[in-house]
Amino acid sequence: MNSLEKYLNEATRGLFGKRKKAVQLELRGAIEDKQHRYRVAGLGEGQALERAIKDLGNARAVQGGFFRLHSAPLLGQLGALILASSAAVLALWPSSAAQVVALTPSATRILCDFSEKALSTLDINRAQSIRSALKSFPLEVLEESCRINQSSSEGGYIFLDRDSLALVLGKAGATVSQTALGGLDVQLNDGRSRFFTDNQEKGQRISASGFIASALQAKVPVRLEGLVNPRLFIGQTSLVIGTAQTPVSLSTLLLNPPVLSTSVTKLFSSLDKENVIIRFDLEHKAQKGKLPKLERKIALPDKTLVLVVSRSLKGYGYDYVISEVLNGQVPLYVTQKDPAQVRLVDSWKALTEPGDDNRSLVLKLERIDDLRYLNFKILPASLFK
Amino acid sequence: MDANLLKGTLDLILLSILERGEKYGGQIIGEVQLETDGYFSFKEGTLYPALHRLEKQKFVTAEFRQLPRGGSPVRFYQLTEAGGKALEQKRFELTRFNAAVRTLVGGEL
Repeated sequence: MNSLEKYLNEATRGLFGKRKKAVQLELRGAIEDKQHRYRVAGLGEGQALERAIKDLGNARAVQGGFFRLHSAPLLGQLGALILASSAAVLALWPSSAAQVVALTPSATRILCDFSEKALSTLDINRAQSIRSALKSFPLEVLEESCRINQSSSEGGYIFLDRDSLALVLGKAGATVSQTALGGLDVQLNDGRSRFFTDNQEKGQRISASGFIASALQAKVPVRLEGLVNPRLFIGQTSLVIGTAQTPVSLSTLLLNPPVLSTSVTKLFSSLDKENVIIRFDLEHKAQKGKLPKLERKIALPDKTLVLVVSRSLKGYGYDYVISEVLNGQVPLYVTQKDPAQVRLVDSWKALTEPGDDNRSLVLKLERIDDLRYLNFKILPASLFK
Repeated sequence: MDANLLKGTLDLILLSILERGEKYGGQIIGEVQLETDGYFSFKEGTLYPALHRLEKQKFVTAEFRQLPRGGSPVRFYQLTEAGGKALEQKRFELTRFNAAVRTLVGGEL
């Protein structure tokens, strides 16, 4: 890898997909422009390139600026009514505390008000999803479900307390220091794996999924073991996320876009060549008791992780949830129609219209022992009973 | 110069430069350095996240365009109507700020 590619990779660490490519292209254009000017001024090609890169400034500082700007909205795409309104506290094993950010009570009240008046204040996409759900379920059921999930420790953004995280990683043998931007510079004890993670805008918090994604970007082997309070293995280092009092589910961690983005982007690129906006959703155990009709029997072992995809309204891409098979059932949003046998995504698309969530595409999450190689497999309708 | 001073005025500087017409990063840096005799000297890497922030606020729009030299395209930034209004507001705020500081410390600003 030459110095230009190295610089571009470093400066865009933590960005993903089209955004990452666009920023890299812009920086590449800027560097080439500088290089061209230095060449005209008489410098050799290599020297001109080095000077151009130097002019752009420290890659880590550039990375910090872009990451802070572009990563927060990505987290904000967790558009589900449940996700956006939960609060929890999380602790890292063995004893260090970490915290999850809570929304204000007023925000919570607004989010669980599904009256038409309240819906008229929401963005059109979200309001439409709720109106669609209201066709199948009474207002009180949906509002109650929303409130239940708000109080669940499983939902919402998971933030790690930066200093606690540094302490735990240090105890596990990693070398950790604080970056100029308040994030962490982590050097694992294998002597070669190194990655950076940014802090959040306010406070000493680090997004758990952002932390995992940073490690994945640095091609560090990462895996999660256990469905509740999973142990996170990063290289040779490991730590447990969650406690008995404030449990954290594997699904919650996996759902956050930075963790899944690479695999999911690849998956959805086969769904549609147009620009696709993917909304993430989270299925809670607490929901199942309240919305029993949403479940469907499936011939898969319990605890199998599945991804349930439905088509959103035209122009708004796809919605999906990750769920665990429980008691031989998989949660689906709507089950009025019989499942159709499809072998290809195109066949599924031919059966549905944008906005039609009556026929969901169910995919099995093939492996989670190494998050670098997540893979999904479309499940045939014959598995549904 | 003091980095904090730059931080507080970077948006104003960028919007002012773009008020004169669309430009790409290298041109913006060159113009700032030339006109301030090197007083405002910052790394180009600082510039791009700031421009992206302004784009997000819809104060500027941007598009990739090829330069005659060939190679990778550069991104040209253009002030929007909202950006023009923001610039006016920031100028007004700076004037008030200067007046307030002058009252406190005395002398000419």
